[in-house]
Amino acid sequence: MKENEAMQLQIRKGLIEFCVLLAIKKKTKVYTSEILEMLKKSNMIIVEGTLYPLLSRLKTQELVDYDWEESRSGPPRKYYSLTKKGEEQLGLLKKTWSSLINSIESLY
Amino acid sequence: MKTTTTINLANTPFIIDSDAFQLLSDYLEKLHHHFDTTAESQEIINDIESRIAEHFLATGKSIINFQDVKEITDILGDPQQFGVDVPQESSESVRRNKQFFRNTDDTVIAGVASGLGCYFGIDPVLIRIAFIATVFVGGFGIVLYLILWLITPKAVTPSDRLAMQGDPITLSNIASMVQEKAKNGAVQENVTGFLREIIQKTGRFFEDKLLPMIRFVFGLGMVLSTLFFIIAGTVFLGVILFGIPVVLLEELSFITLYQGLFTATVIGGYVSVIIPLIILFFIGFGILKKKKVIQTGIMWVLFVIWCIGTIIGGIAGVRFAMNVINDEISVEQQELVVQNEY
Repeated sequence: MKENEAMQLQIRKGLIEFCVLLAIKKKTKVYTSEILEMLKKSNMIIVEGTLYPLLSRLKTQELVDYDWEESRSGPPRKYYSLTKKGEEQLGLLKKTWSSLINSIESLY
Repeated sequence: MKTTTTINLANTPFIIDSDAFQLLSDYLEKLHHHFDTTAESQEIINDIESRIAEHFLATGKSIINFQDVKEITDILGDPQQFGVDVPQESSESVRRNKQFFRNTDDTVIAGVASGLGCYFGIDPVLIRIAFIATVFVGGFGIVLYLILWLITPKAVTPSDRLAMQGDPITLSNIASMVQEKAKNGAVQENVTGFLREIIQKTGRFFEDKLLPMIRFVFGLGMVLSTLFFIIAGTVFLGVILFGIPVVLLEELSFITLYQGLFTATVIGGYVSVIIPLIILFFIGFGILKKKKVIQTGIMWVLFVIWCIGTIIGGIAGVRFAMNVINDEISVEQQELVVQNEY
């Protein structure tokens, strides 16, 4: 069973990136805690720490960008949004996702 | 009473209990361990510190305690769980270095050859042949194989498998891997299952590869050698019966004298040797073809012929020998008599 769990974890980890891009797209401009909340609501449970390196990578890949915004309840926050490249990538991921669903479900 | 200390997180000062400070310190150190020292990593750590600061401020407390620290570190999670890659310099063409794993999806014994094949990009079959070849020149391949088996980890998780083949771990790669696995049927493995697999695979290897080889070599050897001796024997027979030069015949006059017996002996001897050879030939052929190629009835006929041949040959041979010896003796006696007369 351990391999099964590990595999599930890996699948979810692979899909997190997809989910994060979706979340950012949905709200147009979000900060990390918000993204986490959205994922939680959709039952995509991850530790918040996962988001930080992930967002950093997305930024390096030029799929997202951020703006600093002052916050009354603490230090300034990064608000993330999709770049044009990010939008395109998201489009591709959606297509991949659909065909993946078809493949898997055809095996049911 | 407790001691406190003051810290500065994301440009915000906090008063914090000492034990809470210790916990926080440890966590931040784990973070530093987990990430490298690139600028990106530093930025990530800063973001995380900001988040912690935000949490502390949200508690509204004047002194941060152990519980507060525990809460936020639980939310953030253990750095080990932070998933995939630390951000890297270049984006798209990031190719992870290939890692050497044992590949148990395509294995004969333990996936060593398969894993090596993946790492070097060679067909595992070639590697297996190489291993077997070394067996014939001193068996060092077996030792090498066992060593590799022991020290190389098995590719378990999908990310392992991807690392084994050298593909970057991305969503699309994992997706295509999942597709493939769904097609092939995932293999569940635990320790006993694996052991069972080893035994099965070894058995299958022996059966499928080794046994046919042994069988082939053995059968071929039998066929060729018996054929050779049958031909040689027949030629020899021909020579003896028909080919002895006239000159020699004068010397070996007893042959012409007792030609009947001689012929019978020779033919009997021939039958006695040839028939077993013929039977062995058919057995060898059967081994090669993996089935019986001679019917039992014919076997019996051959056996009977052999008996008859051997018996006749034996009797004739004895008679022949007796005659020759008697002749020799009487010749000698005659010579003696002649000598005595003089």
